[in-house]
Amino acid sequence: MSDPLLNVEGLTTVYRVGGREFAALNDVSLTCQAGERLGVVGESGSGKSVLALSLLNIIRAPGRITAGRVVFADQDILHLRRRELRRVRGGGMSLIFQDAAASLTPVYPVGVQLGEIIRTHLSVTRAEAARQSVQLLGQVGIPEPERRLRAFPSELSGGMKQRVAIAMALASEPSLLIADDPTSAVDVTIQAQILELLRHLVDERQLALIYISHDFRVVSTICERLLILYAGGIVEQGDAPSVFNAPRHPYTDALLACSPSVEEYRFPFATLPGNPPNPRDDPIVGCQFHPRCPRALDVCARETPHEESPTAGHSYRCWSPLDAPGRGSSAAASAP
Amino acid sequence: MIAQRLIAFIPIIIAVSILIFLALRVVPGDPVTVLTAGSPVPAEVKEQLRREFDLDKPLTVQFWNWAKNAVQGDFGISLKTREPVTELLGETLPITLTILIGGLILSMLISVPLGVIAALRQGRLSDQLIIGATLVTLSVPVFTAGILAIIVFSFWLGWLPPFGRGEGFGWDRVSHLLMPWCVLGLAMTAAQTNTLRAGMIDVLNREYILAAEARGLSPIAVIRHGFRTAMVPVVNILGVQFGYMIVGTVLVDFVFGMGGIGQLLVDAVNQRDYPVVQAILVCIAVAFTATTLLVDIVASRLDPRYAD
Ligand SMILES: Nc1ncnc2c1ncn2[C@@H]1O[C@H](COP(=O)(O)OP(=O)(O)OP(=O)(O)O)[C@@H](O)[C@H]1O
Ligand code: SF4
Ligand SMILES: [Mg+2]
Repeated sequence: MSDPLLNVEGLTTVYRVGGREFAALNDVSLTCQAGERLGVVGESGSGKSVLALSLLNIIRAPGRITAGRVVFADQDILHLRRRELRRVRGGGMSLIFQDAAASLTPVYPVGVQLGEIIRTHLSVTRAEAARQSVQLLGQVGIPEPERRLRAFPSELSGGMKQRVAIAMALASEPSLLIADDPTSAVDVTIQAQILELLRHLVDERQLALIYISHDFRVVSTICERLLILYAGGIVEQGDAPSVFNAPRHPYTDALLACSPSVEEYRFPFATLPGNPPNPRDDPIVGCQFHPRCPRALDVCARETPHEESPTAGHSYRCWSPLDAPGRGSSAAASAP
Repeated sequence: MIAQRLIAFIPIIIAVSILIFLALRVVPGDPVTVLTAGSPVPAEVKEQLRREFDLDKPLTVQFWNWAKNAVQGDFGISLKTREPVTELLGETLPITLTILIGGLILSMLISVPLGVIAALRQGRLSDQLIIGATLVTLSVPVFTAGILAIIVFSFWLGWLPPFGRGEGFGWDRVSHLLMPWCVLGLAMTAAQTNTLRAGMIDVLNREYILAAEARGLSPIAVIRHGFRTAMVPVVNILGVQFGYMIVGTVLVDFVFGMGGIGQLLVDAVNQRDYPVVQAILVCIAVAFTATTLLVDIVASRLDPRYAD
């Protein structure tokens, strides 16, 4: 296999909260090939946004990346010089922020902001940048793009702001698009449109996509491979059908069980019993999920499970995984 | 919005003018005594003076006559010098405005970079030095700063003339204005710098600044995305400072002998020269109201979300 577009190893990001450090992202490894569509699923607070920001090496205080490697297009993102880092941000990988509206500068018209991004990353004239801005706004489905160029973000509806944010992420012609839960802040009718739009744009440009969501169903319709994040760690990853149809990790299973069906689509926040670890509490020893896990064994509270990959393209971290379909591996058998 | 504000402007000015007019009639001291410089004069002369200056008419008529002329730029004549008040204003207003605007520009030239740098280096040495320096300027009154400046730059170093307003538009003028500009400007920088610093710190924590960085924009461009929003409170501060600076110009007039409007006002008050006092106060009121209007216009230009 050729070198992946993005290769992440052991990425760890800690936040200092109330005098103690807590790992919002813990030893995360993943790869993404050019053109691949990766889905990241996890509950609120599982570290999805921190992952997105860490990939761009743009973590703000009180957070900081303490370990790991991020290699994007053969560049070591965590050790790049500022100038090169700026070229990667936007130019190589673009991030659509979770709250798209809050990611737009209120004091500049949309056209100015788009033009600025284009001119920062592509060496084009002002006129050419303006032409491309109009084209981009048209491509993200904004009617009367010439007129909208002069609009301030506050003059646009939520859905329009979302589309503008997508246009901005695409303006610099990246090869990897990271979408941080782009449908969590807009209302239901628009969610489907935005999703469809993203799917279309990514297909058309053959972009690699990391689609972050708390909603299993959304992710599995758009992504080829799924990563399940719990308390800052990847607990399971694999090909989408495999993870979706035959989850091995109890957390994935629970997440699927409470994931809304299509009819319940308007209530995407069905929750699991119990709460994810609180950064203010003492760190959990062993498997982070054990206080909530129906399959927990004694070992789970003592030791962190290793990554197991019994079948190609599917791995998990669990002492007592669910049965794989067609195989009779018992729960207790794989525990030491 | 601007048109509405402009219309609201007119009744405010009328009301303020009436207030000033009445207030000056209430304070003790008979204008006729001022006119005659206190020397005993026959009753018929006093009577004639009263007639000449409209003092025999009811207040409403007096005000109407005054207002009618004032609208046409005629503020009557000085009781003291018998010169037209408009002429006195013409002699003093330009120099005062030059000092005010020059001081303002100078203070902005200093406080904008300092405020931005302090915000960017929040908590570090350069930030602390900047805050410390602005505190020092804040603790030295305009009056003291002016005297100190004269001692150092005029008497010790002999670089700048200590008094007077200078002539023409060249170095002579600038050399006379330099110290007043600096003294007045420095008095304003502390508040501006600290307001900008606070605004910048607040704005730099916003998500759209992080997003601008994530889009690969240069540091300067990223700062620009926050700058306008951070400038809105500074512009508001400028409006408030304008009021203080009127007091400031009185002191500057006094220390540097600029012969500006401050000096004219102090003299006129001391001598109960009502037409002059009244004209100056009305001018100040107009300037004040115009400033608040200007502040709103500039602020809404800077940030489209600004609305009151
Ligand atoms: N600036 C910060 N300061 C302190 N803690 C933070 C900060 N940003 C994130 N965290 C912590 O990191 C953890 C992960 O946060 P993150 O925003 O990545 O969650 P998320 O998975 O994106 O959740 P959501 O679905 O609600 O967006 C949380 O526990 C949060 O408290
Ligand atoms: S390791 Fe143990 S506690 Fe953790 S998910 Fe597996 S069974 Fe549950
Ligand atoms: Mg998030």
